[in-house]
Amino acid sequence: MTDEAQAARELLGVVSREMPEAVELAEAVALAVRVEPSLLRAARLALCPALDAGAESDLWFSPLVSSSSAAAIVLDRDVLALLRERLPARGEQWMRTARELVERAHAGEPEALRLEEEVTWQCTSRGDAARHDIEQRLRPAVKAMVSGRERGLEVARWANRALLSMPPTAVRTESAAMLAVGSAARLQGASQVGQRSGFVALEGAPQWLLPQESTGKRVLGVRLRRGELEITTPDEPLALGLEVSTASDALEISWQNEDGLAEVRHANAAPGERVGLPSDCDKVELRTASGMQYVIERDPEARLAYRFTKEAAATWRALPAEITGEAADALRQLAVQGAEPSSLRLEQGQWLFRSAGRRFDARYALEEGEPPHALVSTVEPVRRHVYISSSFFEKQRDPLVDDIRRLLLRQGVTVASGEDFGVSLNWQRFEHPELMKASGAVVVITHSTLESEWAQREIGAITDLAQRGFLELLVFDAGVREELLPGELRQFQHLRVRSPEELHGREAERAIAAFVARLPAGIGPESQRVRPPHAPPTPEYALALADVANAIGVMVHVTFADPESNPLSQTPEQWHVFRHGLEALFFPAVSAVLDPEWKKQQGSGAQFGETVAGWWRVALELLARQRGSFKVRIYQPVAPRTIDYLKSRASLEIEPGEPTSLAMGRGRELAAAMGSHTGDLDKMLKEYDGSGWMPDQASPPGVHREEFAALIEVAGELLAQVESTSSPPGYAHRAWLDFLQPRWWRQRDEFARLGIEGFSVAQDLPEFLAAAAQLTLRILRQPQELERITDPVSLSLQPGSGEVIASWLAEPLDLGQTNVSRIRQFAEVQRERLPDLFEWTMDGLLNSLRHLLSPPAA
Amino acid sequence: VSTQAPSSISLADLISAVVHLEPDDEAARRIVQLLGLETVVAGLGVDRPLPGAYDSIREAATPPPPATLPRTELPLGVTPQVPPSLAEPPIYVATAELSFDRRVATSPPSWLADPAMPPMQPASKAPAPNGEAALLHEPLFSRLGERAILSAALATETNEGAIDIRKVESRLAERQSIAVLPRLPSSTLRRGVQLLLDHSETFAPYARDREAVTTAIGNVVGRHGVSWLRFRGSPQRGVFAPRKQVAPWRPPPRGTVVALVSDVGIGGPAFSPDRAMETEWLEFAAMVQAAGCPLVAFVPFGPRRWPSSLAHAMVLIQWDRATSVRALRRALGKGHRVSG
Repeated sequence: MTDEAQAARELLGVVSREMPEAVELAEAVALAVRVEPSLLRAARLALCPALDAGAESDLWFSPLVSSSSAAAIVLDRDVLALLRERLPARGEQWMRTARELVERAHAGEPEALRLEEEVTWQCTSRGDAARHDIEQRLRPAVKAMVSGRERGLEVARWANRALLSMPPTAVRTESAAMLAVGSAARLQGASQVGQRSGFVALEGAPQWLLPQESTGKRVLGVRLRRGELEITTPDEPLALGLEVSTASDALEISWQNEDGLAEVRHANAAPGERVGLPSDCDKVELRTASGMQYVIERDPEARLAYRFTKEAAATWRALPAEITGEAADALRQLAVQGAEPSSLRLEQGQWLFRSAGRRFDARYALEEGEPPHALVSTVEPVRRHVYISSSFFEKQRDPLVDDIRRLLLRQGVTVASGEDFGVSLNWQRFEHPELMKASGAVVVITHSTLESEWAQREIGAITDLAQRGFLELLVFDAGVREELLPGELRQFQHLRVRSPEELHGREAERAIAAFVARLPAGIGPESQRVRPPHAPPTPEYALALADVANAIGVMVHVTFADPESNPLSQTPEQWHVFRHGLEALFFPAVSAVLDPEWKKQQGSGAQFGETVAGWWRVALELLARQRGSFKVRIYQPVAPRTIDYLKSRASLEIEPGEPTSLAMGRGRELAAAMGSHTGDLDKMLKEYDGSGWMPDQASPPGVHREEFAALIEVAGELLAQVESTSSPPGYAHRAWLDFLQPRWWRQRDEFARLGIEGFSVAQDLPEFLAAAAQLTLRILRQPQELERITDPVSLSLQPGSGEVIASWLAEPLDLGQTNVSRIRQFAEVQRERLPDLFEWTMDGLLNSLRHLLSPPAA
Repeated sequence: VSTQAPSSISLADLISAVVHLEPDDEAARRIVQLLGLETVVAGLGVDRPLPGAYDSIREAATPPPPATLPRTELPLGVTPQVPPSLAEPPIYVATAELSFDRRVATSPPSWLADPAMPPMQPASKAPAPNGEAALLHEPLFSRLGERAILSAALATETNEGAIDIRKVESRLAERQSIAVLPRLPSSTLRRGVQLLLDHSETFAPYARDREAVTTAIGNVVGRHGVSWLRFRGSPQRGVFAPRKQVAPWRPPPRGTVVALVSDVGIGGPAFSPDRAMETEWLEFAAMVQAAGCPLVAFVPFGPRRWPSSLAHAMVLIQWDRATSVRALRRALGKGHRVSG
């Protein structure tokens, strides 16, 4: 059973429990490709007379529906397959009635739709006995596909969809395989037939099915991955080159299933296609419609998928590879082969190990039953400045250097100083060579530089680094005699400047502009859009970040997929909690409200904490009122008076949990250990305090942005993990997930468009705060309204209905007016600038609240 | 020896040590201990170095054996746009072997040229059937009973019926004068109806029914007696006529029946902004009541799904075949009572 089929079975089970009427009605219309209100009504009255008209709405808006419009709905194809399996149990007469209704409803519809429904009916009512008839009935469609370009495309589009939902009996016909090949060849990357298996293999090379005569050959890449075959361009790492027709071609991929029987799928021969395979599939046979046949097989002996070379490292680009073997051994292999750990990231599965001392990230996860292996890549381009110095060992800047710096800044290039890299007199003692590697450099060669023995050695080192791609060199040979300029530096762009005044001439401007234009992405104007570490942090890292955030009064939701206590493998309730990322409540933030002493100690940061904590207090109150009793899991040391407060709510059941896991100070220690990536924590906190209670767009140092981006990414990763899990504990929760996820993914696209990888604190945190505060405002203003919430699940808090809540405003809010006005100010600015982002933060908060309001999972 | 990895020592240090020292298993284990990395190593899924795990350094340094020909060479170039992705399943090292350089091209099947088998015309529509063959949209109320149901549901009570002979007799027997002839109660539709039509997303499955019942009510009450307005969510959020701006809902004259054609927030997607909450509907019912107007709602959902508070605040009528005129008359008598 495929994952999709399994998910559909689980979904059907959940919906059957929660909305049995919807499922009963779905069965009555399961023979239809499309269901209009008229058909739904007629089917209910004729086949499910006990159901009231409400069942129509239940089905219409149920998760069994994959798409809907004002005119009709289409049921999910995997659900449909299961529903159709049940139909014979209803009896022949019942099925005939159902078929008649569909026939009458769609009598005036296009031939393609009627053919699809007829095929479905034949398969459902007669099973395998109908195969011959279906073969005959599908032939006119095949004929139409090869009878002209336009009509062929039309049929291909229809077949592309219809083949996915046709019963297995129909798919096992030769005509269906022909339609699949023809459709895959015509739809150029839009083909979906690769998702369907069960086709028969066609004899020979059915070139006549291709849209046009093949005139030549081209090379296509394929990569065998675990659980899928990926069609790529041939130059992708690890891609195997295959020869296909230059015109549209189609691929037939087959493998042997557990029973030794051949499984066949079809795909378009276009990069980007992915064909699902069993996860343990190591060998597939691939045939092209134009006549080639390959056997793709995993090499069981291969230990290192990609040979790591200096040249590859120097390109400073992502370099995926696979290593089998014990993880530490794999690392050693890489080291032996000349690559430095500082330029590598090892990843597999979901875990990241970030080293503090030697600057490399390693990600490991040993899945059960899987051989240990790691995916290796160089770190992606990170922050790259232009390093400018008259000499690597000379910290003193002369006027020429300053002028060059100004000119570069004018071009939008960030300029770092020598101190940023901890340059010492001996270049080999760089304190932060990894930063140097991630930097460009402008080297100014002066007469005195060249005469220095040290400089001669330095030039060799500079040249080496530049040749490996670690530095971007623009050489100014100020006052240097031509013959003294070393040859190795002349290969880089260089400019002779006899005096500082010459820098402002056209030649200098052109040279600098050309240099800036040549800089790789990540340097220059783009360097402000640095990518935060986009891998999910380790628990330790996340904890440290959480502690940092907590210390400055920021509420964070963090849940960890710890291998020892993976919430996904535990109770449904924990799963539920995990999914919504609310397992960790940061009670010091709550303390900001409950504990005046804490507030005094924390100073201005507490105001922010107060805002957020107020929100949490509302959530706690709501929980107390709604559920009667619930558990509070405390992850951090909480002031005794806070405990007293919680206990004063008689309905609260406090579970102390494991306070050490998030002990205050632990994160600080860890964060400090992270070195330059996290930055100097104390310094950061000081800066933060100095910038006021809340960051604004100008004040937070870049490092804050990265840290918070990482925090938000934790949430993103959680969602991503959730997406890959199944077995939702309840229909309502699945509805939430369905609601939330598209927003998250849509927002990811938005981030990509803006060049932001993650959540930027400078831009987005104020919105987050604003949203939190607004929600707090709205709810706190009229607490008696909370008692009237009788159906929390249906409490609609989408953007728009927030106005309803806003209408509750009546009582003054216990928040400082300064905060409120500032929050509003931020909200207005941010809403205008990034409306989608604003909605997203709002959605996130509201969903959190919904979670708190929800009944526990069954 | 500390069992906790000091934060300044990392796995990288272990790797460096292993690379430079090439230790055997026991030595490697000691290195792990000395560096305090037991926890980290255990976190990698390896409780202790596996037997022989550190012996393979020389082997690892040896390039992998050349692939057996014919095989496609692994590319050595690097592609710039290969972001390491967590979601991606790992790529296997694989070989591609060309087993046939050219399969025999098959000729098109003979049936393809059969003139008796015309190609499918995918988009061509058959003529729409007429009469019994066509599937008509079945109304929610039965066709026969619809008029009577609507009459009963929208009528108000009035004392304009036949002369109440019993009352007249009784008064005459008591020698009372009769200034005004007492009359029996009767039902009337002349007070008119304000019809509020739900155009929410949540009511989409009943769009055709909504239009049909609008016409039917017009036929029963008389077109001049019906004013109709549309709303989304609830009328409190504003009402609108076609091609008109949304305006606040205003109650009709006292005694006019306010008829809702809506699911009153029972159905639809859980988080649809169009799905008004129960409290919103209760507030609306209170406003209608304050205006002295009876409030009746035609709801496609059965009584089992009705919120009890709403069932008390307005007359909910199940908009389905289960509703009979008799039951309705039993519940409403001669019609809605209008105070004052």
